[in-house]
Order: sequence, then C-alpha cells, then structure tokens
Amino acid sequence: DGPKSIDVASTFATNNFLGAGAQYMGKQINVASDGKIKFRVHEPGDLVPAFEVFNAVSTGAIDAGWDWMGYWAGTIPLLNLYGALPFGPSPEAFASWMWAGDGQKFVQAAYDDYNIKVLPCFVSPQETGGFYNKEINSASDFDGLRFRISGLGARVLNKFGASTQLVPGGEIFLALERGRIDGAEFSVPQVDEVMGFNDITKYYYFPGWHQSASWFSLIINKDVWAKYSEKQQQQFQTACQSTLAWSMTSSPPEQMRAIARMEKKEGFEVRRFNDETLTELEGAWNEVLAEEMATNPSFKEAYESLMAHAKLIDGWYDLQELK
Amino acid sequence: MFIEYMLPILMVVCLLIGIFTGYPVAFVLGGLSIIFSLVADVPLPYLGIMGSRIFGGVVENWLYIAIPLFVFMGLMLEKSGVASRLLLTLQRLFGQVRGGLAISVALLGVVMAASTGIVGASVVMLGMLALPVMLKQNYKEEMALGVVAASGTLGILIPPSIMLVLMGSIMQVSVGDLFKAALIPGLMLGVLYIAFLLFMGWLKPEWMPLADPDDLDADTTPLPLALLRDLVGPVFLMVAVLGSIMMGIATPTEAAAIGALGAIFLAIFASKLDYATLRDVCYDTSKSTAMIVFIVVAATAFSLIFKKLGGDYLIMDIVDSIGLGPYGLLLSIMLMIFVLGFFLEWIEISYVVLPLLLPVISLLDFGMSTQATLVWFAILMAINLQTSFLTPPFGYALFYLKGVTDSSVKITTIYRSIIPYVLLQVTGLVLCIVFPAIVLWLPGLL
Amino acid sequence: MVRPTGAKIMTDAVHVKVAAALHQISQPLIGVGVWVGRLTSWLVLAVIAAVMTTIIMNVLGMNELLRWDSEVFLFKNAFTINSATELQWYLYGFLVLFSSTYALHTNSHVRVDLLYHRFSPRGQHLVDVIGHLFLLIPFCLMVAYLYWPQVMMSFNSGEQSNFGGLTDRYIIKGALSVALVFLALNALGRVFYSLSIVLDPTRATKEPFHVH
Ligand code: NA
Ligand code: NA
Repeated sequence: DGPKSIDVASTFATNNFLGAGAQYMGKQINVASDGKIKFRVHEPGDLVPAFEVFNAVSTGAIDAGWDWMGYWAGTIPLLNLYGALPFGPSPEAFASWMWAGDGQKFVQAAYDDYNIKVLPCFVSPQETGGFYNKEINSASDFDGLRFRISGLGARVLNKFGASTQLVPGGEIFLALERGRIDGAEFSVPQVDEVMGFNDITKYYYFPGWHQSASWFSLIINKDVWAKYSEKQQQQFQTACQSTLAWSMTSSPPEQMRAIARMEKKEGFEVRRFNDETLTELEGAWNEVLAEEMATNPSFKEAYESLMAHAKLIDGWYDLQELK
Repeated sequence: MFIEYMLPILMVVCLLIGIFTGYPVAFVLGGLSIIFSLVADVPLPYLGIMGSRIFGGVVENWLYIAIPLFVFMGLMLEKSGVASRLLLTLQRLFGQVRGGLAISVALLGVVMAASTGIVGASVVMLGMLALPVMLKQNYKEEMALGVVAASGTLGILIPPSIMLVLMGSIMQVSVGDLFKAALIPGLMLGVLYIAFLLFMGWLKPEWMPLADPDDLDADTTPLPLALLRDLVGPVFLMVAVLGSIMMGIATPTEAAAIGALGAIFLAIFASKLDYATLRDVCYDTSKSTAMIVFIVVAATAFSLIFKKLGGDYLIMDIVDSIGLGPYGLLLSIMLMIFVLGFFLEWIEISYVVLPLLLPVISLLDFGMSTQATLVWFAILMAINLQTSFLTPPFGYALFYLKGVTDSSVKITTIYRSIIPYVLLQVTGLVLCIVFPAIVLWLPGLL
Repeated sequence: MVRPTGAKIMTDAVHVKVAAALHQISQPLIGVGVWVGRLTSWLVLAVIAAVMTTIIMNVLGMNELLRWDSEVFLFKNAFTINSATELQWYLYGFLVLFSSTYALHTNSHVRVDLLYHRFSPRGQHLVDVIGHLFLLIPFCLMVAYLYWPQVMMSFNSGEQSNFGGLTDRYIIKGALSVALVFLALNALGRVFYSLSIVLDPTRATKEPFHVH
C-alpha cells in the first residue's frame, strides 16, 4: 500500500472556495480509504510558491498539488483548453467530456512526459467578464483598454487593441483603484468578493466569455501514485468524483449570493455585455482559435474532440427543450 | 514536550550562536538549514523545494524589484550633491526645533506608507535620504536609526498593504474593510512615534542636538530662498514617485523606477553626473541589494526546515498549554505571534498560523459580530506582524537599514535603536485590544 | 613546550610558503567574482529602462511595440507590454543572483558584530574559513544541485510566459543554480585567501580583508 499521508501543496488558500476543494477531497479520500490515506493540505507558499507547484510535483520535491490547470499552460500549451477556453462548453458538458469522453486521456498523455498523474476533480462555474471603471458598449471600447487578464482571452482582447497585462495579485487592488489599469478579471464572484474590487470599480460585467468552465485538479507524482494498490487508486477516483459533484452542485447558488451582497454597494452595477459586443468577441475568438489550431496540433485534436462531445449534449438538451 | 521539539529548539540555539560569531547572518541561516535537514534526515527531494522557494519568492517576485531601484535613487541623490545641499538647508530649517528632523522623518514615513506597501523600499529610501542628515547633525545614532526603521515599516500596515490583501484572502473578509480598519491604528502608531520623539527631545536634548549655528550661518542665502532652491529637486522627486502612483500612471513598484530616473536627471541638472559617479552608484546599488535579498533567500530555506522539524507546532503547543478565557487566549495568541515574529517572516506566519487560529477566533465571544471579531483580530495580528519587521534577530527592516548605512554603524546599535519603538508598537496593540473602536469605527462594524 | 629554534624557523617557512601559494590560488577566483559582480551591477540601468518602457506603453494603452516574423530567443515574435514587464524581473534576477558574490568580496553581507569586531584579524579570518566551509558552500551547492532537475524540466518543456511575455524561462531558472555554484567557488577563493592569513598573520597587515 502507498503512503498513509501525502503532502498536497495547494495553489489557493484553503479558506476560499477554490482551495477548499483540496480539503474536501482530503476528507473524501479519508472516508473512501477507511482512514488509510490522509491529505496534509499546505497553503500556497507554505511549501512552495503557487507557481512552482507543477515543477515541484514533477521532480518529486513534493508528493502532490492542488491546482488550476491553466497555471501550467506556459509549460503545456494544451492546458489553455482546460484552464480557460473562450466560448467553450458549459461546466456540465465539459465534465461529461472529461469523465465520459476523452478529456482525461488527452491531458494525462501530456502529463506523462512530466511523471505526473492527474485527477481532474473540480470544475468551477463560469467566471465573470471582469470589473471595469468604464462602460463597454461595443468591442471597440476595448481599444487601448488596460486590462488584467491572461491566456487565450487576452489574445482575443488584443485583436481589439486592448493592452492586456499581468499585474501581480497583491497589486491589482491598488492598480485598479488608482487607475493604473482600467479593469481586471480575477475569478468567480465568491472569490472576487473578498478582494474588495466592488469598492473601487463601477461595473461588473457578464458573461465570462473567456472562460466558460475551468478545471482544477489533484496532481500526484507518478512514483508516489505507483506505490498505491489498484484498489487504493480506485479510492482516489471515487473521492475525486465525489469532489467534482460537490463543486458542481454547491457553487452556482453561492455565486448569486455573493453578487447580491456586492450589489448592495452604491455605484456598483452588475451588467451584461450587449449582443453585438459578444458577437464581435466571438468573431475575434475564432481568429485566435484558428491561429492556435494551426500551431498547436495537440490543442486542435483535443478541441475537436471536446466540441464534438459537447454537440451531443447540446443536441440532447435541444431535443428536450420545453419551450 | 521539549524532547519532541528538541530539533527546532536546537536550531534556534545554533542560529543565535552562529550569528554571534560575526559570520554573515544570511550564510548562517542557509547553512543551518542544510545541516539540520541532514541531521533530521529530511528526504533529499524535499530539499529541492528550497530552490523553488527562492525562485518563486525572491527572483520571480516583482515587489522586490523596487529595492534596487530605491537604493539607486538614494545613492544617486547622495552622490549628485542634491542630498547634501538639502541636508544643509534642512539643518537650517529644523535647527530650531528639538527632534524636528526626526519628526519630519516619521511624517515622511507615514506619507510613503500611504502610497506603497513595500517596507524594504520605504526603509531604504528614508535611510538614504534622512540618515546622513541626522548623523551629520550629531543625532545619537540610536535616535536616528530607530525612527527610520520604525517609520519605514508603517507601509505594511497603513493601506494599501499587501499583508492585508493576503490576510483578507486567507480569512475570507473584505480587503476593503481591512483597509479601512487599519487606517486609524496605522496613523495612531505614527502619532505615538512623534509623541515619543517630542518627549525624548525634552528629556535628552543632547541626543537630538540642534544644528551648529556656525554651519547654519555659512550659507547666507535667506532661508526661504535656500529652501526653495534646495527643496525643488527632492520635492520634484517625491511628487514624481508618489504622484505617479496617485494618478494611476504607475504601480508602487514601477514608481521606484520613475524615482531612479528622476534622480539621474537631478544629477545631470546639478552637473554632477559623470562616468565615475554612475559606476559607483551602480556598484553600491548592487552590494546593498545583494545584502538585503540574500537574507530573504536564506531565511526562506531556514524557515522551510524549521517548520519541517515542527517549529511552528512547538509554539502552538506552548499557547495551548496556557489556555484561558477569550481575552486570555487572545493575549497568548498575540504573545505567540510576537515571539514567532522574531524568527519567521510575516508571510509565513500569515499562511501557517492564521488558518490554524481562525476556527478558534471566530468562536470567541468578545461581544461583537463574527465579522467584526475577524476584522479586529486581523488588524491586531497585522500590528503584531508589522512589529516583526523590527524585532531581532530577523527584523527585515533592521537588515534593510544595515544595508544602507556605512559599515561604521553596528547591527547591535540598530538592534538597540528599535527597542523603544517595539514598546510603542506593543502600546498601540494594547490600545487596539482595550478599545476595539479604534479598529472598527471606520469600517462601520461597531 | 619549547621547540628547537631551527625547527620553528623551518615550520614557519613552510607556513609562509603554503600561505603564499594559497594566496596565489585565491586571486583569480576572487578577481573573477568581483569582475562579474561589477558587470551585472550595470543591469540596474537596464531594469530602469524596462520599467519605463512598461509605464510608457501602459500610459499609451499599447499592447505591442514590435512584431516580426521569425521566432527569436526570449522574445518569440513580438515585444509586448508583458515582454517589458517580465524583462524587468529577468534583469533584476541576474542582478541580485550575481551581486551576492560581489557583496561577499566587499564584505557587504550583514554581520552581528557585537563580538566579531573585538577578534584579531586572524580570528576574523578563521570565523570566515569555518563558516564558508561548513555553512555557505554546502548551502549553495546543495540548493543548486537539487534545483537543477527543475531547470532541465523548464528547458525540455520550453516553459514560457502565460501572458504573452518572455519565452525561455530556463535561462532565469538556470541562473539561480549557476549563480549559487559561482558563489560557492568564490567562497572557496575566500577560504584560500583567509587561510593564507591564518597561516601567516603578517599578511593581515599587508593585505586588505576585503575589496571595495
Ligand atoms: Na501601505
Ligand atoms: Na523579527
């Protein structure tokens, strides 16, 4: 049997919803294994800085990590698909591809090169369109807009002349407050709320077109994983699926509660991008997508598989549509 | 209990012995982390984390970029002669007020704190600008050093503050509330510093002498004119640095580069910039930066192993064994954080200790809402952690200060200089415990 | 314990010769360390330039300054605002990593000098010899060695910015290991140098303890 206790370095503080997933999964694995497997979840920076978790797990410096998959897109470009895919399928459809389609196969193949076993155990709901201090009435309002956002979504905004920037987490508040940047996209409302951005910005836009679902996972060094018996590995899977169900069922209502609390602040408004803006964004996304597919064959293959799978689910719901 | 914790205790003992041999503090920290991991048989791959921590925490850390930039700015001001002319004029201005010079440093510290949250940068900048002025005026070394170190640390408490942002995310309370809550306590500490300086000026006037009248008379330009002439440069620089942050042109880190560039321009206008000056400034910047940053590099390795050997639980256990009512518990927690602050960084205390304490704290009944209790506790902890910058052996503010003073100033003098300020910090903390309104009034949580 | 005078002169002579040899070996090591440290010191000007570029591009709301067709080292095929931002810490990284060696030779690292300043020069050199051998050198080599797999991983995976900034992240990760090994070598140089004075204390009056 494998180690009784493994160190899990979380990339999120466990007091927020994203990091709480690691602790929830720790409880599940403890139950499933009848107390024979235990997680010791470490806060970000406690063992290693958040952005070093993948490398540390890969080289065996730490046993396991709890991450947002998009963090490692600088190492594995395919992960842009799992972390933040613009105009992608809903969390439900994405989860179906992950667990009843080929989703895990593609990502595990990429992780094999790094001696890592990946368990995608947590999907967050759609993120938001971000906090802004000026109105966005058409895609041309993104021209010259200084906005904090990463990944493929940033490349979409670049098409309209936005200056997309990386501002370190601790400086976002100040940068937004003083106008060093005009807006920022951070996370889901539940997490955004505690950052206090609603105190210093005017608009909170929806939908989060740049990230329709995003995956969080448990990554384990394969040498550690191999020590567990087949039965124990199955227990990990069970705990993982239970955590996935928890993330999908518990989070949507929480987002609406968080938004309601934020809206109490005067001068802060929740808005939707208008249809023309969204159409233009989608058009630009299709250009970025074509570029990405041309240069990144593993992304292309996975993307096509995902969209084909999502189409089945859309078809089913269309057929069952009541009105 | 002490058998179980023999290794972490031994580690601290070796640390103290090591640094008192006079061998560089950073190297003692780093070396002990390796020796103790071998003694305790910590698996080798685990030690691989040290490199990751150094890379992620120091090399890839934007906030530290401000350190060489502010050092550069200070040195350039000094070498360009702008600082020395300002010095002479400030002496004329403050020559008449006992402790006036030190008080203006404290005020400057508050202004900088409200614009940035980078302790290293504030201490370095204040040290570069004000320390030579005070020493030239024959201030007692301790008086001059203490006010720079203490005022420089205000930035971590007075909003905006990275520490409060981090605490907000760990405790799930609004950062906006924390910012509001920290404002009055932060300003109150500034007031306490100033009150202390006024008191010392009255008690020990010889420690903060007035400027020598002969020196003052050397310059015959009327004071208002001289002030105008010599303040223009530095004020231009202050406005450039702080103004660019306020106006949203630059983040605090970026503003440091504006300051550095501004200092180059001032040197050019004063016709003091030549190759040799530029070269010396670059070389000295490099040395001071290395000295500051390498302590952080080694300390991150030390605390990794200290925690691995159970050092954090040692301290928790001591608190547990005391166990009293809500106020008793609160006080023992504050005492524990104060002691931890001697050895660990605020960021590690926040991440390691805070989550362990949270469940306990939110259950304690101080006769206020849970939300208010959490905000109040966060601010008490923040004041406590701000103090950790000042407490030896590992007070970063002290090391930053050592980095910008010349080698004639002993680290032990610096340690002595902050004792009164640590006591003032504790006073501030006690005031916030006794009168929670100081914290909770502004965010409207009373 | 009285030794025959002749033998004492003999051993002294050996000590002096060994000391001279150690001094000889130490000089190139220390020289290189100082030279590299001074060279990287100039990077602070490059950091200022990189930050100013970021600020100006931000004020103008620019995302890209330049774009070209072929992929080049570090910048791939565009210079964006995030290239400038990340360039700041690449440059700063090289500055701080190699400056620690320079600071070693200039005695800029903080010492708690309560007792130290009362030691004789020979005693001070002895503290450094023991410290370098048992504390500094093991620390540098151990961290550098254990971090190397991560450098290789970064190289093999082609790790790069996720914000459209710089590529070739292995350069700056590798610099961490390389700089620590370099520091260890320089510490060894100082061990030779200090040993030469421990063996032949008359050198203490002729040779400066540190470079300026
Ligand atoms: Na501040
Ligand atoms: Na301390």
